Amino acid sequence: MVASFLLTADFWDSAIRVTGPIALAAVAAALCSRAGILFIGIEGVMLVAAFFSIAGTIWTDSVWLGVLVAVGSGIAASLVFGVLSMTLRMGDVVAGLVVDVGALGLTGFFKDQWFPNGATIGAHSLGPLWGSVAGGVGRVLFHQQPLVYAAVVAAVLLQLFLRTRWGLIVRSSGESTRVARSFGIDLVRLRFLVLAVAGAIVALGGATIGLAIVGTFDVNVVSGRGFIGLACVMLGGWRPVGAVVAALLFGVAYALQFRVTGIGGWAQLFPYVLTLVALATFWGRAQGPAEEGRGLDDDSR
Amino acid sequence: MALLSAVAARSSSLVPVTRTSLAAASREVAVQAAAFVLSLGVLIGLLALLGYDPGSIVRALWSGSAGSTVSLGISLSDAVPLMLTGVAVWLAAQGGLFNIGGDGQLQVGALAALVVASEAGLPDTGILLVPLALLAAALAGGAWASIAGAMRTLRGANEIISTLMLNFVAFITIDEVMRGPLQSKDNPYTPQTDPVPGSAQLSSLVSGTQLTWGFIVALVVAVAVIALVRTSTAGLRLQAVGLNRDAARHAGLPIRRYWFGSMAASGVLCGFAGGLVLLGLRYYLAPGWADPWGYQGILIAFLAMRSPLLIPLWGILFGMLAAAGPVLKGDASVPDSVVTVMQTLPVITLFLLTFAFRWIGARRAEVAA
Repeated sequence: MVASFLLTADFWDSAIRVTGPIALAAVAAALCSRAGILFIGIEGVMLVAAFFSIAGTIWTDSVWLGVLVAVGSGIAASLVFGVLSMTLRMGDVVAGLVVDVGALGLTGFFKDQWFPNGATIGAHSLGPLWGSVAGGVGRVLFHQQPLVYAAVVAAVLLQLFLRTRWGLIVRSSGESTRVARSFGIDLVRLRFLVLAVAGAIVALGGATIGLAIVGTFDVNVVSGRGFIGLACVMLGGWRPVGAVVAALLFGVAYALQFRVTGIGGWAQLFPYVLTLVALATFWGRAQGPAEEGRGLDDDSR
Repeated sequence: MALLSAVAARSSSLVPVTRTSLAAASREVAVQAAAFVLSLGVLIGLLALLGYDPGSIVRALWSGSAGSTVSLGISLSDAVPLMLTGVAVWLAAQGGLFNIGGDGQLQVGALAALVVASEAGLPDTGILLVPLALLAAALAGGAWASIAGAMRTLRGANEIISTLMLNFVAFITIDEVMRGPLQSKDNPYTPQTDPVPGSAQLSSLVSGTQLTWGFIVALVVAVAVIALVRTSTAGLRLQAVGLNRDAARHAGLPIRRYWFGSMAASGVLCGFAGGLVLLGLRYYLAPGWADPWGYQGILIAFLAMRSPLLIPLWGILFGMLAAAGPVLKGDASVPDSVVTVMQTLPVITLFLLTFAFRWIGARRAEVAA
């Protein structure tokens, strides 16, 4: 009786819809983690992309060009994070906060500047690419907006990529910068490349929020979903596919609050507490990349 | 002891005021002042390029932050949490830890203060309620941070991630509490709590302004903590742990104890800030009741990392910016998000200046060689 709604297509439909952006953030964060970058700026990059997905759609009158504008802005914002963290040597945490706070201010400012009457995409929105699909399960699995599938595809591809020769180079940047350097790898260039790819993936998540979920740009519309992506990486054991599964857990917990009155809101706590428990018990530091968040010129070892 | 004197020698602006340390300290102050003035200049210049009138921006900034007793009161009230979160982040960083959970600790502290002041059924006298509520706030913030401290010391879990997660746990909890158990009886349809009783509200410092004596308390606590860390043996040892973990371990310092202690103390400061904000500025909890003072504290701490006595000053500057936001929007028609942008500019400028100095130094060395 408690969980009869768990069997309804509506519940899973909404759970997967809110999972989409979190999953994309999780994949991007997983890539960065494995390369030794703690991508605290992910929240700001996602916010910039959400803003430009809507702005781009309004300017070009096309959702897909909006997505393209978002991806470009996401890559740019992500590289700004890299410049602050590596070139100016702020470190991942301070650089991340500068990007997050800066993105909050700049998107808020340019929303008022360019769209004083509100930034809304109106009739445009990112929906399923094909018509209705028969059956509840079919609808849940095969009738989502396309970027949800992009998250799954990106996670699988990334997991395979990490096993290749190039993947090994990326992981060496995450496990031991000393070893990576001794093989003549230009770590700064490598990490900028990783950030560009991650920025593009996060931007798809930002575009999902802008174009498929909210449809309007409000200040801080991302509201922590980038940070949740970071949590998913831990909960998913630093594996991209695991991170996407963790994202689904956050999505389900979020959807629960609208189904269970009274205690429903408290259900949102569950994935965060689970992440903390995972960090404190069976995972701890042993499983994470050794260099995560330590920067390239940390001489305290 | 040789280790500690080595530490004392390394952190130039430490205790003994020699001529060199004075020169280093004044250079540090000059660089930070330059960072603030430059970023303000850049901001006004960029706004002028976008077609806003620089004159009215400067006038609005001044009148909104310091032009009258009322606006100065708003600025200094906004500085109360910032001074404390800034020192909290700096304190944890002395031992080599990042506390990015200041916001969660602050909110938990405010909740504890609210429960003690309104729900605990204590006698309705300020002389009892205020100290007890502030004590509860400090302890709650400390306990909240201790979770991350224990996870780090016992299990090696990254404190950046755990404090970030604990933020969200705190936000969700407080959001649910103001909709459920502590939902206001007078406003049952909007999510908010009842205000704390009048006897628990901090009395004002300057009549006609919102400034309470909480400002003095926050300033004294902030300066005292900095002085204590900079001069006490425990503080020096904490810095030794942060500067060189391995050397500290070889010197026999219990690193984990220092980590746990600095994290808990950092949380105490943030929780205390939450108590002061609740009793002195906001009085009740409602959605969006808190600004991201913890995150801003991180920016402030890293601006003044090497000259921590400037942390209270940066807190006041950030408070002035926050106070100027609405006036900037009202008088100069500039979107008030520009204030948020301005919070990041001094950090960027400071690191750019450092980068430029380093580059010039490297070029000089090249030329000399």
